[in-house]
Parts: sequence; structure tokens; C-alpha cells
Amino acid sequence: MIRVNNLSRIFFDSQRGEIKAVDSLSFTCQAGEIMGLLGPNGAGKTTTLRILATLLSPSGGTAELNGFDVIKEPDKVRASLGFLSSTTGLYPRLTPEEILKFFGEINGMKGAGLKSRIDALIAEFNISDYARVRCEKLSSGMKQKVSIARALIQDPPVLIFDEPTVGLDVIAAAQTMKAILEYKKRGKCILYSTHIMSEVEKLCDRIAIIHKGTLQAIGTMEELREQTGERYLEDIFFSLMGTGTTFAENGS
Amino acid sequence: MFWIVLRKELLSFFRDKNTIIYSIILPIALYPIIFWIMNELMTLHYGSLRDMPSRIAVSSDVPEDMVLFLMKSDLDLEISSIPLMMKSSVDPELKKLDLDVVIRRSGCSDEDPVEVFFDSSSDRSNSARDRIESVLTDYRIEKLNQSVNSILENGMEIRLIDIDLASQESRSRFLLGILLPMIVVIITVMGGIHPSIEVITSERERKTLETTLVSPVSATGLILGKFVAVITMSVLAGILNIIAMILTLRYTLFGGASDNLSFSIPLSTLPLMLIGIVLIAATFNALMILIAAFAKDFKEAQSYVSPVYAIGIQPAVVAAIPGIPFNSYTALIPITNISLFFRSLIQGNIEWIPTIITLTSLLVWCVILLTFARRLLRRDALVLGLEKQQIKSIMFGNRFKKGE
Repeated sequence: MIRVNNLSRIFFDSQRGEIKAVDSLSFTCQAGEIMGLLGPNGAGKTTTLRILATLLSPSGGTAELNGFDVIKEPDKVRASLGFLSSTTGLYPRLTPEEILKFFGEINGMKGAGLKSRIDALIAEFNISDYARVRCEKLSSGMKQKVSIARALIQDPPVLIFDEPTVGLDVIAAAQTMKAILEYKKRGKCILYSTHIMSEVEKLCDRIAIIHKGTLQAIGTMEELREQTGERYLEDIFFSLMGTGTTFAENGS
Repeated sequence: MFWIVLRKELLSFFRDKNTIIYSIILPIALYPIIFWIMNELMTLHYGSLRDMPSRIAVSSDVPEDMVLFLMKSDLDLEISSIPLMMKSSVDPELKKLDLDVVIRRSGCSDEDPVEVFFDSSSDRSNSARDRIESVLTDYRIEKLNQSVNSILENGMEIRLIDIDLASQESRSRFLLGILLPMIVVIITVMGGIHPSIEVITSERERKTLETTLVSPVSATGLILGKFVAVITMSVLAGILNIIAMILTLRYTLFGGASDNLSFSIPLSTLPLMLIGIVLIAATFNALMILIAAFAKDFKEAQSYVSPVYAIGIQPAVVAAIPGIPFNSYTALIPITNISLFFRSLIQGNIEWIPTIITLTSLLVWCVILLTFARRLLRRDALVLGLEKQQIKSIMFGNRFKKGE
């Protein structure tokens, strides 16, 4: 469902020159699978996700979502995709109901079909109490629920989550993860980017660890343990980063 | 797609306190309030002056018939006699006796003219001098008539009678034509500043732009929807300002002068005026959106846009200068042309060649800026923000090599 092949993205900075944010990255993610994209800040996670979401053009390589090429068929890619970031990206002066309507209409939905989809999402995410309250007045947890509902409005086969629990309290974060697991069960292809190890261990079927734009390792937890000889994900991560700081060594 | 975006933008604008203040409340309330305050202050000032008598001291060398003429005047003159005095002692005397004006003869001969001493830094003294001038003008005319009649058998009375051929309507339009065009341009442009920053820069700051761009929305539909929403707010500000200005002039013009005037705009010119407002709004807002797109946040955008606004509206002031014609040459000067165009419409003198030049040049500017905006504001630029090298790479190619 997601196929990334030798993907690269180079930024140009007047002082630092060319910066390879993503360098020959390759991986796949299947339907009904959650693929974790793990890496430190500046690893190239957000750039990769932005390329997959057609927000940025790649400097090289190819990427496909739901069988559609991100460069050649960007509209079809966007129609197949639900994208959620930590910033929620909700219009502050619109209500959740109006936001769902707006994004539904942008996705070509209308009339009774759109109305019943909005009602279903409001019920599913339990947002009926504040469905007609402007988003600027909602709490972070409420906003995140609305954001997830917004990303799912057209029932897309592919979902991309970019650090969706940043800034949320424990309960809101748990609710978000529960919703993601539920959608995995419904057969969605989910790419989950984060730097929170515990979330990756709980949620992801496979994990891709990237550093400085390059893929360091990819596989299930078991495969990564075999590859690095470490037991915990944090140790696996440090081992692959080459920092020498491991869970056992730092004693935390 | 365009309509969906436009509807969403307008809904957001009408719920935004700042946009409502700048685009609706300010155009409606600002000028009535300013005019009302100025009117009240001036009425108070001139009203109190009008009610005050002018204290005039007449030297004993001033001809008696002139003094009698002054005393017969309907104007409120308090005339007192003073003895002959030297020129140098007039000023201290004026202050000592608390006088507004002193009248004396400049020399000893009957041929010598009469001098009026007054203090130009005092409103009351200025008012007294004006009253004296008015009475003495009548005195001079009467003297002249008497002289002519004594020489000629069928002497003709010499009297100046002002007959203003301008209708009440044309006098009102003349006054409106000086004030309104400049203010309409200023308010129309000002009404679009906040929305111009809001649609791209603020959305990027809040990350809502990123969310929208991940949806299957066409960049053209998105830009056009946002652009038309900004123009709508700007045009709304312009129209509300015209209505507010006319009503203000009708009901609160200084010192009740509006009683003799009738402020209105020829109905037949309204469609052309609306086209002008739309074009000036479109041109300026395209420029504002482009400039604001370079900023990282709202504050930075304001600091970019404010100087452009301040400089950009200066040519509009030209229409308020009397004697500047609206012709084929002035029609080529951006902003000045639209201001002069509005003036000609308000005054009911539509000059077709400059009108066509003005509207065409504005349309050309608008298309150029929109095309530029469409080329610059691609998905990458909308998400990451515009930078100098982006302009080069987008305008001249090699986008991916440079990496934007």
C-alpha cells in the first residue's frame, strides 16, 4: 500500500549548502499493518511524510500510495490518504462539524452521504457534546479527536500519523493510540512517525529506524533484536545510532 | 473547489474579531466619529467666536463717516474712540485695553489710507479684522457709487453681486470628489490587509494550510478561493466606507454647511465605481498576499505589509489636490489614476479614454500579480514559506536541483 524506493530530498541552504534531509530511503507498508518510523529530531521523518503526502517534491526516487505515484498522480494520492500531525491543524474559528463538512466536500463528498459520514464520525469519536463549538475553545485532547475524525472523513485506505501524541496528556494519548489500533484492525495501512519508543513498541508491527536521512534498520521487534543483539527498543535505537549509550549502560 | 474554499474563508473572516474591526467596523465608524468630533469642536469654536463682539478702537483721525458706517453695521462691533497714537504704541495699547483691532490713519493727510492693526495669532482678533474688512468694503463701494453718480448723469451703481451658477448637487459633488476618492482607496486597501496576512501566513503558522494541502484540493482553486475572499472583505470595506462617508457629510458637515449641499453619487456611475473598487482591491491584495507569504508569522507579515501600504496609498492623495486633471497621462500613474477616476465619477464627468486606460492598467497589474502569486505559491512554498532563492528557482527553473 505504501511503497518507497530510493527516496531522496535535498534542501539548499545559503550558509550550509546542500543538505540531504532524506537519502535513498526504501521501505513498504502493507494494508492492516502499522509501520513505525523512528528517528531522532532532524532524522528526516517529517520530510519523508511530507513527500508521501505530496506536500514536498522528492529530489530523487519514487513513492507510491495505494498504487498511485506521488509525483504523477498527486490528486489520487491525496484522495487515498488521511494525514494527521501533532499540531492538529484545525481552523480555530470553525466548529468540528463545519471542519468535517469542509474536508468532506474537498474530498468530493456531498448531500446525505456526507451528512451520515459526519454523524458516524461524531458518534465514533464521542465529540457530539462539542461538535458545534468553535475549535479555538476546545482542549488539546478534544482537538486531537476532531483531527483524527477529519483525517478519516473520506475513509482513506492509507493513514499517516506524524507524532500525533505530542502535547497530549496521558488519557488523550491513550485514546489516540486506541483509535489507531482500531483502524489497523479495519485493514488500513498506517505509517506512524514518532520518537517515543513506548508508543512504537505498543503499536507497530514493523519499525524503520532512520538517522540523518538514511535507513539504519527495518523489521519487527524480533528482527531488530536479532540484528543488534539488544533486547529493548531504546537500546536497539542507540545501538543503531552509534552513540554507544544503551539502556543497560546508562542504567535508566 | 473554489466555492468550498471561498465559503470556508468568508465564514472564518466573519467570525474573526480583528477582520470585523478592520474591514467592517472601522470603515463604518471611523469617519462618522472623526467628522462628528471635528464638527462639534469647530462648531463650538466658531460658534463661540460668532457670539462674541469684536472690540474695536478707532483713532480720532479716522473719517467720521467711516466711523458712522461702522457703527451702523449689523455686525456685533463694540466701537470705542481713542486719541491719536504713534504706530509704536498701538501694540501695547491693544494689549492694555484688551482690544481686538485698532483703526487709525497711516498719515496726517486726508489722502492717506486707513490702517487696521490686528493680532494674527488671536482667533478673536482675526475675526474682528474680517468683520472690519467686510464693512469697509461696503463703505468703499458706497463711496465709489457716490463719486460716479456725482460725475455722470445716469450713473450706474457699482455693486458686486455673487451669483453661483453651480447647482447644489454639483457643489456637493465637487466637495465629495475631493474627499472621497482618497479615503475610499485607503480604506479599501486597509480592509484587505488583515485578511491578506490571515489566508497564507497565519494558516501556515497554525499548520492548517498543511492539513488542507494534503486533501485533494487544487492549488489554483485554493489560491483563488482565498484571494476572492480577501477581495470580498476589501470591497466590503470600500463600499461601507462610501456609504458611511456620504451619510457623515450629509448629517454632520462642519457648521451646518450641509444644509446647502446634497451629498450623493450619480447612480449611473455606481457600476463603474464598483469595478474600480474591485480592481484596486484585487491589485493591492494580490501584492499584500505575495509579500505576506514571505513572512514566518503574523507579526513579521505585518512589518512587511505596513510600509508597502503606507507608501502605496500616497499617490491616492493626489486626487485631493485641486487642479490635477484626469487625462491620458495621469491615467498611467498607478493608484493616482484610480483616485482621479473616482473623483471624475463622483463629479459626474466621465472621461472615457482615461477611464479605459485606468481600468485596463489596473487589470493588467492584477493579472501580472496573480500570475506571479500562482507561480510562487506552489505547495512546497505554501508549506515551507517563501525565500529569496525560491523566487529565483521558481521563476527561472532548476527547482529540484536547488532543492527550494
